[in-house]
Order: sequence, then C-alpha cells, then structure tokens
Amino acid sequence: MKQHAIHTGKILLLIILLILPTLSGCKDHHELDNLALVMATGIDMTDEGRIRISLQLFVPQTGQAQQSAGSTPIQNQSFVTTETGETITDAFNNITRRMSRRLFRGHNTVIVISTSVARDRLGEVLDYFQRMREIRQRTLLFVTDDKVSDILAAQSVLERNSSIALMKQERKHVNLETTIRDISLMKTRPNKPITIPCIKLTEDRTDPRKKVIDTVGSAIFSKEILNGRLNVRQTFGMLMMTGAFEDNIFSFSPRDEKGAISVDVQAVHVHVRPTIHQGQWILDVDLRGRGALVENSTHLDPMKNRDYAIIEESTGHFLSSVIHSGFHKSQKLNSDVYMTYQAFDRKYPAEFQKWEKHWPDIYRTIKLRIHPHIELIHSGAITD
Amino acid sequence: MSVWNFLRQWKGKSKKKTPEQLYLAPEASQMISGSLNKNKRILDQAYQDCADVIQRVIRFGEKGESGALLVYLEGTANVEEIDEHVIKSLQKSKKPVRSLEDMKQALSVTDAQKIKQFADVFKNVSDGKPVLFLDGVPSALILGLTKWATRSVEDTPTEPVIRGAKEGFVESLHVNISLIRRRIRTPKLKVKTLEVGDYSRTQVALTYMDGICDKKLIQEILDRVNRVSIDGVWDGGMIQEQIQDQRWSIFPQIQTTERPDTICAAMLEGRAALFFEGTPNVLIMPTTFFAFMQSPEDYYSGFIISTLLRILRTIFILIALLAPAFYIAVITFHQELIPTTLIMSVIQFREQVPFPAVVEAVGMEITFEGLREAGVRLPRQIGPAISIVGALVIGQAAIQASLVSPAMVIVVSITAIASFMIPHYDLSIAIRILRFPIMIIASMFGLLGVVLSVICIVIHLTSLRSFGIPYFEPFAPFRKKASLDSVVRAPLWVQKQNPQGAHGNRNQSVKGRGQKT
Repeated sequence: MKQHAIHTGKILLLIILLILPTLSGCKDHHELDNLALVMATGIDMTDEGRIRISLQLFVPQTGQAQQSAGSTPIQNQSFVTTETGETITDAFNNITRRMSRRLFRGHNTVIVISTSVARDRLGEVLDYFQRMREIRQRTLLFVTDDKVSDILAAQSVLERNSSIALMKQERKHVNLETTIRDISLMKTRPNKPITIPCIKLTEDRTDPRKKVIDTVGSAIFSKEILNGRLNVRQTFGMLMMTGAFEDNIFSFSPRDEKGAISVDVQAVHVHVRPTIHQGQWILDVDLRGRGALVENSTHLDPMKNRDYAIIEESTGHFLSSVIHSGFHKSQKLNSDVYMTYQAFDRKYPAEFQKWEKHWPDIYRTIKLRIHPHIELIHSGAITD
Repeated sequence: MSVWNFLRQWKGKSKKKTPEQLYLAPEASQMISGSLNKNKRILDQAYQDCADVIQRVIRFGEKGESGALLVYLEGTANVEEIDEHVIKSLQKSKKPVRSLEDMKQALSVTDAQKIKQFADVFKNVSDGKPVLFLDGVPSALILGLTKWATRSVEDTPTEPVIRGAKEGFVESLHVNISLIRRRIRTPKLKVKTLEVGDYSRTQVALTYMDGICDKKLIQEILDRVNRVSIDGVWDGGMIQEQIQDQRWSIFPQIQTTERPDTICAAMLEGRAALFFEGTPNVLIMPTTFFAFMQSPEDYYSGFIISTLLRILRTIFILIALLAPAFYIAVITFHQELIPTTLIMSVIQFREQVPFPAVVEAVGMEITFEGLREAGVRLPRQIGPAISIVGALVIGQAAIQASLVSPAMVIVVSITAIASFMIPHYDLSIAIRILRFPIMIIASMFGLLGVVLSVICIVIHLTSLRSFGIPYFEPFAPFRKKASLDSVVRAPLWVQKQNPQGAHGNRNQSVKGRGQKT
C-alpha cells in the first residue's frame, strides 16, 4: 500500500508538471473591462509634416448613468483623443501611453483620412492598415477636407457615435463602400485606380449647433496619389459601370419639357463590348435597367404610350450623360476606376498585354458609347 | 493508464467473495423433523429476537388430535387469506389429515410446495411465504400467500410525456413484469430470474425477446451480474455501475427508465432489460449515446415534429455543454467575434463586475447547480420557496450588487434550460459536469480549448462500448439504416421496410465483433 502511495504521488507530480505549461495560454487573455474599444481612426498631418492620429474611443456608461439617460436625450458614448508622431505607430503608441486600458481595434469600423495625407502619403497609410492584424479588412475608408478630429467628435443624432452613423449611412445612400480589402484589390490594377468616398461636415439646416456628416462624392486616386473628385452623381455612374450600383432616385428634366421627373432606377445591368478598330479603343455599353416613376411635374402622361417612351428614353439619356461626364473626368484624372481594362483584357489579351504599361495613355483615348435600355415598370399613376 | 490499472488491481484485492451461507441461519443445514416440538425449537433458535416472526400452532381434527405449525413474517403474508383458506379449511376438513398430500387437498391454496430442509424454510419465510408444518411428517408446505406492501401503479414523475402511456413501474418486481406482459403478449417474451446481494438476496429479472435478442448478449449479462459481489441491492444503479463496459467513464453505458413502453420498445429492438425487486428503475442494455437523447414520445407524435424536436435537443445539448465556455472564450480572448453593437452593451454590463469572466461564470454555474440540488432535496412544501430565493438572489440582487453581469445570467439560464431538455437524467448530469472543465480550459486557451475539449469528448464517446455495441452508433461506425432513427426520426413506414429494423443490424454486429468482457 505504501509503495502505491509513492507511485501515485509521482504520477500526480508528473501530471501537474505537464499541466503547468498550459497556463501560458492565460497570457493572451484580456478582460473586457481592461479594453478600450477604438471605434474609428482618423489620420491627419500637422503643418510640420508629422502624422497626427485621432481615435474615437467608446466610453461605457455604468448602470446608473444609463438609467438617468433614459429621460434625457442620449449622449454619444464616445471620446476623441489626438496625438502626433513620426509614424502612425509612433502616434498610436503615444496615445496608448496615456491610456489606462489596452486599446482594442478589432471593432474599428471607420478610418477617416484627411486630404493632406491622402494627397501624397496614402500608400504609407494603406500599408500600415494592411499590415495591422487587429484591424479588420472590412474597415471602411473615407477622405475628408475637414479636420479629422471634428468628424470623429461629431455627435450623431440617431446612432451611438459618428462612426456607426457613417458606416450605416454610406451603405444607404451612395453605396460606394471602400474597405481596406477593396483597396488591396484596386492596387493590383493598372495605374492603381482607387476610389474612396469623400465626406464633409456640414451644419444642420434647422439646428446650426448640430453637425451632420455628408457624403459629397468620391476621391479619385491614381498611383496612390489624390488626383481629383467625382461628385455624387458621377459616383453613381461609376458604380453602375462597375456593377456595384443598387438603387437610387434620380431627378432630372426631360428634353423640351418644363418641370422635372423623379425615377427610381433599379436592377441596372451593364454589358460591355470592347472593340479595337484601327488603333481606336472603343467601348460599347448596353445599359439595361428598370425605373419606377416616383414623381412627375411635367406634362408627360405616363398612361400614354408616346409619353411613356419619352420618359424611358430621357431616363436612359440622363443616365448615359451621368456616366459620360464621370468617365471623361476619370480620363482626365487618368484613373481607370471604371475598370475598362478588364473588358479589353478579356477580349484582346494579346493587345492588352502589349499596351498594359502604357495603359494611362490608352485610357485617355478610349471612346465610350452607351446604349441605354431603361424600362419603366411603374407609371406611378394611381389616381388618374 | 498505469493509474487506472493500479486502482483496478487495488480494488480487486481489497474484497473477497462472501459465501452464500451468509444470509442463512446456522440451523439451515438441518432437516425438518417429524416432531412438531423439535421443529418449533429449531425455529425459535433461528428466529431469536425476531419479533415479527409469527408462529402459530393450529389444532384441528374432530378432537383436536392433529397439530400443525404455521410460520410467517408479519406484514408480508396475507393474513386474511391465511385465516380463510388455511385455518378455516383445516378446521372444517372432514377427512383425517395424515400426510402433506392430505393437507394439500384440505387447503384451498393453489401455490403449495413441499420442502424438506430448514434452509428452504428460512428462504421462503424471508420471501414472505408462510410455511406450514404438520405433526408427524418430516417435511413442510410452502404456501404462496404473500402480500407485500406496494404502491399502486402511478404516472412517472421523472419521465413525463404529453402523449403516450402515463403509467410507470413500481417497487414490486411482479407488478413490473406484469406491466411488460400486458404490452407484449407472446411466449417469446422470456423472463429469467436470479438473485443478487449476499444479504438482501434481491430478486432480479432479465427479460428479452427470444429470437430477436442475441443469445450471447443474454449470457454476457448473466455472467456480469453473477460476478457482482455486493451485500445488498436497492437500485439498479448499484449494479449498473459495476457491469458497465467502461466503469470509469462519466457517460452512462446502460439506460435506466421507469416507463414500461420504453422497455417494450427496447426489447423489440433486441435489447435486454434488467428488473430489480424494490425499485422502479429498470436497466436497458446495450444502449447508445443517442438513446439518451430520445423520448418515447418521439414515436407517438408525428415524425416531422419528432425530427424537429430531436434536432432542437441536439442543438441544446451542445448549448448545455458549451454555452458558458463559449461565453468565456469570446469575452476574454476573441472580442472581435462579437458584433460591435453587442460588445458595446456587454462592456457596459461588465464595467462594474469585479471578477474575471471565468470566475463569474464558474461561480454562477456552481450556484445554479447548488440551487438545483437543493431543489431536489428540499421537502415538497418548501420547493417553491427555493425557486423564489434563487430567482431573486441570482437573477436580480446579484446584478444590482454588480456581482455578475446580466449577460452572464442569460448564459446561465439558457444553459440550465438546455440541460433540462435532455430527456434522460443520467446523460444530463454527465453533460453538466463536463461543462466545468471545459469552462476552465476555455479560460486558458479560448476557443481553441473549447474545440479541443469537444474533440476529446468525441474521441472518448467513440471509444466507448455498451455490451460490445459501439456507444456512438449509428454515426461511428456509420450505419445508414439505424441513422434514420437517431438525430432525425424517419417515418415509421420507412423504418419498417426492413422487418428486422435496427436490431437486425445490431445482432450481426455483436456476433461479428464478439463480446468484450
């Protein structure tokens, strides 16, 4: 019996020794109350050329504060802190040093880049975020002319903080969502065409104290350098060409008519037919889509076949003009955000490979011909 | 492994088999004598200090010249019938009673057997049968006039169903067997009896269907039960623990039930059942893991409903096992897995909680287990009180005192609900216990630990056998036909296409694989 006891003692010791190294797993463990959630990151530059980053942190409210908040208007639960540094990491570490908690960026939904940084240091910024393990590849990117910290500090009326508001409204309005992953893809294309939505802080029209974040179009980059902008309509045109368009209501005046019509354009499909004819690169685009007449202040009567056709035609005309204007702009900016190279690459792989290095020159000369076929599915006439 | 081997050896050495004579009085070896007085003396000696043994001398015949001695245990013999059919019959008898044959004729009792040894006298008196000695005859008559106190057949509180038979087994072996006989009316239903327990001599009945059940299985069960050495058996669990294939496993490899319909269905599937005198719990063997997740009701309500319910149970068994561990892992290691808006709320809840998530979770789970155990032990009148205390203490006060977060309370309650969804208590308790080590592992390794724990459990489950049948059948090894009645419940007509059903397969597999001893 005694022998057995020694035996078990040894075995127990062995088991304990074997289990001990597993405790090293506890090192990775972070309690929630030791984390500070970073909701958004803003990147800016000081006049001296130092990087300045702003972080929007989530401020938890304790149980009692929450209860009292029930009656008063909900305060945004965020706090913005700013710090400068030689690099982004340097600036970030300077913030970390002042914080009592570990900054956790797994829930960072939004990155706002100021135009000053975007103009020529975008590559640096993108490289940092692509490397960063903790930041998700699906984080949204924005460019702004305003002070980045002001955008982050803006109080959202409906959401808990401005970053969540930005995330939601971008999907709803412009449908141009550029994530870090998208950028990685865009960087593989000839001349590295990148589009990032542009936002602007504007005053609310009824309550000047409140600030609203507006999407004002998209910033166009080529070779990671900010070249110019597309306005909101042109951005829609671009999305139609790349297939990312969902739906939007466009208001415009048909030719030879007083007043305007509003058409809800949906289900847009684009079929691209590239041709190279005597050294001229031509792109024929069949634009198919459906439209629902939402509002009509013209004399056109959708119940009449003739007017019906006019509405359809003018809608198509309008859409092709939107696409055209954006396309010409992008040709000027020399950024193939319309992804025309794909169409040529598929049909003329040999030619394309020959000219790929000179794609900027070719892109400028591409002729775009749009053949719209918009079908009106709803006249909107109920009472007549 | 060496630890187990050592423990096994150590256990084997410590106990030696007790001789059968233990429960008999030393006088057992004697033969019954012709003299009533001598017999009475021996009985007096054996039943010294046994106040409940009644010995009554009956004088009968025309002048009271014949004498008889009646011995029985108070409370076990049917006194009214003794008065009516023994004493009155003897006294009224016109013919002279000179031999036991005469006496048999005189008595109006069906079950009367002749014995010659005192050993048999003691056995039968203990069994509740009165023994009648006749003066001048060196043998005695056993009368089958027992009447044990037993409760009537009632519904089963432990395995309730909405649809299906309500009656459950009682403590009497004979009543239980009769409940089975009433459902399966064929001589192919075999009942083998044996005795277990050195002192208790508990009656055990092994029932099975002849022709469906494998003969080897029956022999194996009998062998294993006969090898058990125990002083007394008060419930099947005491035997179950000792005859299971893998005695150190936390998972039950023998199923227990109180429902006659479950037993009948199991027997028609080729399983055997072990009944014990004095307990309503009947053992079914062999069994599989999935049998513990099935309710008899699954076969009574439609197959669509049953399939959905079984899938629901499967999901909830995973919740019962993993929910708190998953919570700990996600909260402390993988915060990026939680949706942003949810983590904002969870952070607010946890802001004032002073403990790490694992302490909070383990503490809450232990509290709940305590509450549940207290609920079982408490007298029925106080039962509701504990639930009020529990709800107030755990549910509200703990949150207000910032000892636990509301999210944790939700996790604990879902886990509790999930563990009660498992139809069989044996499995539900095993799952509940396994939850705790997984929680600790999750706090050390995060989701990696949770996944590894599940892998370990599945490896263990697939390595288990119940009387030679793989425990994780029909999935490991995969058997298509049997899998139709596992996590899903195929319509009965689909299952019936093969008249042998699942058991046909099972028999072959037992033969092919051989029995594990």
